[in-house]
This record gives sequence, C-alpha cells and structure tokens, in this order.
Amino acid sequence: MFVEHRPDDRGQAHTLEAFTAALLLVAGLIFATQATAVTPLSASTSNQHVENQVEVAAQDVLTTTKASGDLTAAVLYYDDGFVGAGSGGAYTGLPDDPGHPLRAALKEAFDDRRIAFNVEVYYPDDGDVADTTMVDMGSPTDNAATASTRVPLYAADRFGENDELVLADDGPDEYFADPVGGSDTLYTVVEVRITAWQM
Amino acid sequence: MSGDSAMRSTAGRRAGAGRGLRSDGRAQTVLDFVVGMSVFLTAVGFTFAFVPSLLEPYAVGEGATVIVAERGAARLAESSLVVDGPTATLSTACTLGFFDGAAAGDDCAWTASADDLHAELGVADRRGLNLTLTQNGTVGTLDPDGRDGDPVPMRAGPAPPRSESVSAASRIVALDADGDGERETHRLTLRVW
Repeated sequence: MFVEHRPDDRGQAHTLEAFTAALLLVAGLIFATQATAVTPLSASTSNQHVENQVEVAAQDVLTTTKASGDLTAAVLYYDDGFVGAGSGGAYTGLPDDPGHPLRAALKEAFDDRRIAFNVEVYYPDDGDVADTTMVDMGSPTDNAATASTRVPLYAADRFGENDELVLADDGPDEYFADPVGGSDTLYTVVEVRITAWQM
Repeated sequence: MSGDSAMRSTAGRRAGAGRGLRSDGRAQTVLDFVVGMSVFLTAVGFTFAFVPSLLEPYAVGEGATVIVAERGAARLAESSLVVDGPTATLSTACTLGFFDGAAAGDDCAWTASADDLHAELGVADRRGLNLTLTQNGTVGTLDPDGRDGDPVPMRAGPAPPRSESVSAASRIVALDADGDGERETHRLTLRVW
C-alpha cells in the first residue's frame, strides 16, 4: 500500500496526528500520577498525614503505657508464650483478655480505627539482638509507621499468668529473654516496637 | 520547487473534484482539520484542567489546617494539660480547670481555658477550632470533685461545619477522668477549619 502513496493521498492524517498527540498528553498524565507517591487518586493509606497520625498514636501508646507501668506489665505477662495468646505465643490481634494491660490503649489507638499493628519485643541475647512477637497481625504495608521505647526489667519483677514467677529465679528458664548479667538488680532491658499501618 | 508543483497539482485536481473518487486524493481535508484540532485541543484542555488537582495534596491552603491541627494537638497533649512527667499523660486537675473555664493559675501550663482555644493555641480567630477528648467514640466527662456542679464534658469549640473542609489531628492520652486513681486511655482530637 505504501508503494502507491503519493504526497496528495493524505486522507485523515491530521486526525491521526491529533489522536497521537492527545494520546501522548494523556499517557504523560497517567505516568505522572503513577510515578508520584501522593496524588488525589492514590489510596489514602499512603497519605502523609495518615502516616503521621499513625506514628504519633503509636508513640503516644508507648509513652503513656510506659509511664503507667502497663507496658512493663504487658511484657511480663508471659508464661511460655504471651498469656492467652494460644499455641503461637503471639496475639493475632487485640488481646482478648479484657484485663490485658495494653488492651485499652491499643483498642483506643488502633483497633477502633481499623488500623493494623504488630508489637515486637527486642532483647539482648548473648551479644546479639533477638526478638519475640507480642502481637502479629501480618506483614506491614510500605506505608507503615513504627515507634519504639525501651523498658528496663528488674530481677525482682514478677512474671507469669498470676505473677507467680520471679525473673531472678525463673527468668533464665522460663522467660524469653536471658539476664544480661553484671548486676543483681537489673535483669535486662527490652525494646518494645509498635509497627502500625492503615489496612 | 517540489512544494509549488504539489500545490499546482492539488489545484488542478480540485478543479476536477466530483468527477471520481480517485481524482481527489485529499478527500476530507477541511473536516479532517476540524476533527484533528478539536481532539487535540480537548486533550490539552483536559490536561491543564487536571494538573492543578495533581498538586492538590501539596497546596498551601488545606495543608495549613493540617499543620495547625497537628501542632495544636501536640501543644495540648505535650505541654498545656501536662504538669510534669512524660508527654501525653494529662493532669486531671489541669484538664478539669481547662474545660471548666477556670482562670489560669501557676499550677497549670495553659494560659487560656477551653473557652478561648484560639488564644491558648495561638491560632487566628477566623479559623474554626473544635477540641474533644473521647473514649470509645464518646466525649468523656470530668467530675468536679469536691465542688458542686454537673460533670464537665471534655469538649470545646463549635461543631465543625459540613460545608467546609475540616482537618483533624489526634493524640492518644492517658487521663484519670473517673477519679479512681488510674489513668484511662483517651483520644484527644483537634479539628481545624
């Protein structure tokens, strides 16, 4: 067909050119919306304000519960896995036990808002850092926020379902973290980390 | 030169238009222009109309209320209602005085009570502010202990308008609202419009 093409046989070339130009413009626009992280079309889970709010909520939960002692109580609510967590040793959501020290704070901050969260406890382990999971609600999204705080545990602290165990005596065998040694008062220092994200 | 000959040849062909389909090679030239330009201009118009909304999340106007809400909530949760100790752990006495419209004293960090939120947060009067402390979604109340009077709801400012865009920022705070000596978890929400 191109053999017979002459300069005069332009047919609908202008329309085709216009469609090509329009296609380029719209394709450029679509590329721009896909390339930037925050646009009016992207899901609200990647909104910076949402991320800030989730992060500050996680930080507030840690600060307030650490001040009231609930965070320490939750870390010590451990008896071969966190108490009431079942065979996995980690809660799969908000702890069911209404008396759980962290339940009220986590409910108000995250669960009521349908925000997923993981709570992990990091502890020194023979010169390394090991971790155990307290709440495991799955893999965080790319837009998750984290906050962490450190909690000291003392040798006289009691743990277990009914506080029947003492860290200094039963800790090395029963508790997830081993003593750091070097002191009779301090047992270890753990870092509690909350990772929260909008589902 | 070749252009001249092409034009001449077109003119020659146009003179004989209508005689046969093959003789007029350019067929719908004028209509083609109209369709082509309108498609192109529509696309340009659409693109330019869409670009401002692309920049919407970064626009100053709405972003300002978000920042005011975040800073205002931070001020309330970290200094105004806290006596000493960690942030977000509120003092019951200071919170009660704040929402009860008491006069500012030396004991608490706030300088203007909930009746004048704009002064306390340093926000221009033309902005609307609404502050609530909620637990499980309902506004909490404080009992004015040792004094007569109804429980004080922890709420300040007019209801947010439906017609305007409202920004909200929340903090999780611990406050002993029922007077049992233990702090319960509340949600402090500041709305700005």
